[in-house]
Parts: sequence; structure tokens; C-alpha cells
Amino acid sequence: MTDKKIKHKLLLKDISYSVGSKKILHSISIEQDEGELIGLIGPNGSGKTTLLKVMSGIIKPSYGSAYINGAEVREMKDKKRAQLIGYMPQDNNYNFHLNILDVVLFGRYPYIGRMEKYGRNDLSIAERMLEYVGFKDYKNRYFDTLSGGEKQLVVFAKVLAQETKYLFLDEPTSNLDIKHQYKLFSMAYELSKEGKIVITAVHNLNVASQHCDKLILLKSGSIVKEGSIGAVLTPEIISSVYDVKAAVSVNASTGARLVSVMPSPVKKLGITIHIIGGAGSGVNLTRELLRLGVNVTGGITHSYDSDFLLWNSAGVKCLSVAPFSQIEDEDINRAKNFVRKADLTVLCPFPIGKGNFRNLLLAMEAKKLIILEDSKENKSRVFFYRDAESIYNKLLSTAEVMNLESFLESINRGMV
Amino acid sequence: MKKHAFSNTVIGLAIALAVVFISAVAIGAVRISPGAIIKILLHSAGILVRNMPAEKYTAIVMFVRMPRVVAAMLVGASLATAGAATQGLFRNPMASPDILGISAGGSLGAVIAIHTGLMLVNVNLFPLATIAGSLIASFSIYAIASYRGVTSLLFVVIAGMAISSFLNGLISAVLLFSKEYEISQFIFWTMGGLDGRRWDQILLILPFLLPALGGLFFFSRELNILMLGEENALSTGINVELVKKSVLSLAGIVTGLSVAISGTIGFVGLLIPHFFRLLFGSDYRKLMPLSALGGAVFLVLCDLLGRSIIPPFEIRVGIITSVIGAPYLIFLIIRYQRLGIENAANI
Repeated sequence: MTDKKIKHKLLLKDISYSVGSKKILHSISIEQDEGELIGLIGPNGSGKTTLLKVMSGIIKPSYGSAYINGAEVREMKDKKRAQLIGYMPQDNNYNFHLNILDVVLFGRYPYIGRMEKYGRNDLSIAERMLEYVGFKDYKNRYFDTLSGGEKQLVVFAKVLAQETKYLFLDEPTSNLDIKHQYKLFSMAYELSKEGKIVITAVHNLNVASQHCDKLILLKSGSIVKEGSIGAVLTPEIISSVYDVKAAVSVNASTGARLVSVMPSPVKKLGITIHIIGGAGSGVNLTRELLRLGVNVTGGITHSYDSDFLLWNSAGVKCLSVAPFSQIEDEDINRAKNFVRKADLTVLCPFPIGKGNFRNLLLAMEAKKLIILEDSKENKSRVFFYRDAESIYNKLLSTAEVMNLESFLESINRGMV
Repeated sequence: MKKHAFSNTVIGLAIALAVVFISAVAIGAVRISPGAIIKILLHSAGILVRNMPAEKYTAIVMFVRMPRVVAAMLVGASLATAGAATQGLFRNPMASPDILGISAGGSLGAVIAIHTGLMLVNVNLFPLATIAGSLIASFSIYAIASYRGVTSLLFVVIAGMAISSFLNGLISAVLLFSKEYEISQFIFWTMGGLDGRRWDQILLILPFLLPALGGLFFFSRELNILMLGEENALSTGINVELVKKSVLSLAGIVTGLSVAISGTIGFVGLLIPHFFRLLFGSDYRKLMPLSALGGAVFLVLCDLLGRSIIPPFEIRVGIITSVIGAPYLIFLIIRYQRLGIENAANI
């Protein structure tokens, strides 16, 4: 116990919790050191809140023990526990007419005796915390005049005023706009780097991936996966735990993993459409066709093209060539199988140059070809390769030209 | 609320209390001047006073009106403080001792003590019987409210009303089965009254009432934190169950003791804390003393009103409080309907 790291460890040993015959948590074990912001994720009803309450000593586990600082949480004296663990529940939408500084002062309760009053030191801590969460110029406001998100921030300041080593937050940003959501998570991150152990339940996987160092994924009261963002947020794991078709890509602006839910069709249409895409021209078409229950194949694009990334994450069978390379005849030969099997082939409105003009040759193999343009008269396609335009004109004579909306409508009505 | 607004109000209420005290002692079938009252008070405090009023005035002041007014003050302060505490505990603006059935419990204790002859054994047992009755009602409410997941505002009130009518039914039953059934008895134990109160009755309960009232004040800080809900209170280091049991016990004792003096007087515990909460906000450190003072002033006034409207007849103080309280309750209900019940919790 002399080692500082062990001293501050959080240890959950084989925790189970049931209400009546309903098991909410099944033998959960966690070990955690300081310095990381840990996100607790999982579908509704997976036990995130219950686990946080057990860790905070709010409820007693039916089996197993939670140790903090080497001591059993439920055996700590109430005030002692409140000096060590700060817990913030999800719902803080209470209405009472009390100065917000007084509310933040609640956090000093564990430090004062029965007969003592809140002292100067308590007051200055409360003021500092209120400033920290952004109420520097509004310290005289009343709790019942705040919005839901502001109440959340004031309760967060109250938890911080407890000056605890451990912070357990339950969906702290459920009522916050993106600015305050970002702010609260930045504060939580900062506090974790200052040596606190911060565990927060997060509903939004993308928020979790952007801010947390580590994730713990729960499903039906058990830990499914625990580890780095990359290890937990994979399409396979997310799809199976959340029972959706999930795609994982990279958020272009933050670099964080981005989880998206792919459309799941209401019914199977029983037709196969091959999409000849590129430059992201097939993204909307692909999503809509998948939603309508069409069996989609795709190609040829360059890998890392948005079309390719989407097809890949959505499990669409597709072909690609290396970035910036030219599509060669042998690639076309490979793709011909897809086109020949498809009931319909769609040529998306991508620009055509030397690298991808052979896609036009591929289109010639189609049983039935649809060319997406704004209209027959008004074509917006750009050509960077002279020979391509003549092949394209040849294609126009055999194909049907439509815009995206009317094409989707005719698919939807079964007029293909 | 501004800092001095609170202290100014406390001073104002204290002055108001002194004024209504003197007026209530002065006004009656025999009018006694405030100067005479002050002389009588000084004299009884052992201070030499010249030109003492006639002996009969001293008797009226010391043995008829003073006990009655002091009883009104004590009962008003007790019910209002207990009301503030239970409203805070249940985070429910309607959870006052009378609505929750705690007063009815005290009355049932009283009629049982009277009609089983327990009181004849030892008169000191009488307050114990009313306390016991109130505590039983308190903990029935506690048991219902602690039932897993039951925090609904409406539920606690409905449960309290059920307990209250059940206990009132038992009171009627006990009175009906006893030989000397009198309608006035029934009215006293269900509507309350302050006529004919004596010093010995007051002195019997005072040693218990004052500490219990002080005890309730003691929980102001916890009641404040409980406004953020039980989970926040727990995580702030409050032993919520202990606070609940303590506050309900103290509220039960305070209510039981006031029932021992005056029977059940309705609406004071509901109306007074609420009124001050609307004016000064929800800080229990301020709300408790304001309610105590305000409750005392209010009940002395109601009693004075009751015996001055149609003299020589007296209207029972419980009737006066009901006539004032019921419309106020309707006003609250309309207000909550407008605000939505979720928002009504701590208004």
C-alpha cells in the first residue's frame, strides 16, 4: 500500500446486482489507475448507471465488492466516502429557489462538522468551482432560473467542490449543447490528467471516441469489451452489441473514430444493382438503395474514395484499385462478373479522366444501364480525357438518363 | 433574497408576534388595556408595579387568556415547522403533517388514551399516547415512501390521505364505542380547539416540544441538500435514511405534542411554510425559523378571529384555518396544474 499507484486504484471485484429476480449486473471486475478518462458505453439498460452507483456507494451490490483506495466503498463512513468519491447522477432537473453558490457549497458538506458553518475556505472553493464551470459573472443566479444544461453544470461544480480523487459521472452532458458538452468533457479530461480517476457513462459513441482514453463496453450487465477506442469501437463489436449495422470511419475534422448506423432495409426487394461510382458520387445512392432493400455491388473505385469506404463498412461487395493508380483492363475483367450478374447498373455522375475512363467500358457490359445526370439536356459531368467523351456518348444512346430522385422513386415503385 | 431581507423579516415577525400576543390577550368579552396587560406581566415576573389593575383582570390574563395564546403560539410554530420539514423531506409542497395523517395519528392516540382509561392512570401518559399515534402514522408514510421507486409527488399525498381517513375512521369508532360519546369530543379531536387550555397542559409538553423543535432546525442543511434529490444527497455524504427517520420522528413528536394541546388543526403546516417559500425561496436555514414565527403569529390571529367574529360564540380555530387554508390549497393546485407537477416539487 505504499506504492502511490496501488493506493489510488479502483478495483471492482466480481460485482453483481439484481433487483428481485432481474439481474442487472453480472460479475463485473474492473481495475483502474489514475490518469485516464474512461468512458462507460453500452445500449440502454446495459447497466451503466447501476455500475456507477455501485462504484459510488449509492447502492450496495448483491454480490462482490468495490474497493477504492484499498477500502470497501460500502464500509466507508458517509462523509469520508464523499471526500473521496464524487458522483453526478444523470437527472438534475430540480426546481428550487436557492442561490447557485449555495448549491455548490453543498459539496463542502462532507468537510464540516455537525455544529460548524461553511467557512471562508469552503466559500472560496465553491466560488472557484462555479467560475471553473463558467458562471464567473453569474454567481448570484438562482437554481430554478437555470436551463437544464446550466443545472447540470452547477451540479458538476458541486461535485468538484467535494475535491474528490474519484469522479463518477452519469451522462453528464445529456442536457448540454455541443459547446458545453465539449467544455465539460474537456474539463473531465483535464481533471483525469491531473491525477483523478474519471469514469463517465456516455451515450453518444462519437462523443466517447472523441474524448475518452479508454472505453468499457457493457451489454446486459456484463463487460463485452474493455480497452482503447480502436479496440472497442469496431464495426463487428458495435454491430453485435447494439444490434444495428454499424460502420466505423474516421471523423475528418477530429481524427476520432466515427460510428455511423447503416440503414437496415425494411424488406428485401430481391434485385441486384451494381453501382459504378467514384469521388463519392455513389454515397447517397448506396445508402438509399440499401435502405430500400436492394442488393448492392460496387466498383471500380480507388480505395480511400468515400464510395469505397462506405461500401466497405456497409459490407457491400466491391472492387477497388490503389489510390491514384489507373484502372486497367484486368481490373475491368474482374468487375465484369458483378455487372453481368446485376439486374441493373448505375453510372454515377463522377468526373472521368484517364485513370477511371475504363469504368465506361465496364458500363457497356450492363444488362440495363442507368446514367445519373441532372437531366438529358443538362449534364454536369466533367471530362479530363478526350477519348472518354466519345465512349460516354456511345453509352448515352443505349442507356436511360435519370436524376437521383426520379431513379430512386422508380426503384421504390418497382418500375425497373 | 437579499441578506437583510431575511433578518428584517425575522425582526418584523417577532414584533408582529408581540403585537398579536398583546392584542389576543387584550381582546375578549372583558377588554383589558395593553398597559394593564404589561403591568400584570411585569408583576408576575416579580417586578414591583404601581397601580396594579384589579385582581379579576390578573386572573383573566394569567389563567384564561395567556395560556390560550401561548398554546396557540406553540401549536402554530410546531405545526408550521413540522410542515416545512416534511415538505422538504418528501420534496412535496403538500406533504404537511395533517395531509400525511400524522395529526390524525396523534388524535387517535389521544382518544385511545382517554377512553381506555390510560389517562386516569397517569396524566403524563397522555402526551406519550399522542406522540405514539403520530409516530405510527409517520412511519407508515415512511414505509410507503421508501417502497422501491416510489417518489411520485402525488403518490405520497394520496397515501397520506388514505392513512389520514383510515385513522379518522378509527377515531370515530373509538368515540362511538365509548360510553360517554359526545359530539363535541369528536369535533375537538378532528377539528381542534384552543379554548380552556391550562398552564399545566402546556408545561407538561414544553420540555419535550422545545428540544424536538430545535432538533428539526438542526436538519436544515440536510433538507437543503435533499432538494437536489436523494442520489445527490447520498453522494454528498448524507445518510439519507437516517435523516428521513430522524426528521419524521421529530415531526411526529412535535405534531403529537401539539395535538395533545389543541387537537388536530389543519392547514397550518401546509400553508405557512409554503407562503414563506414563495416569498423567500427554498433555503431551509431561513425557511424553518420563518415558518416557526409565522405559524405562531398565524394561529394566534386565527384564534382571535374565531372568538371575535360572533361573540359570545366562538368559532373553533380549526374551522378558521380550514376556511383560510382550503382556498389557498385550491390556488396551489391550480398553480401546479399550470406549471406541471414535475416543476411543483420545490416551489
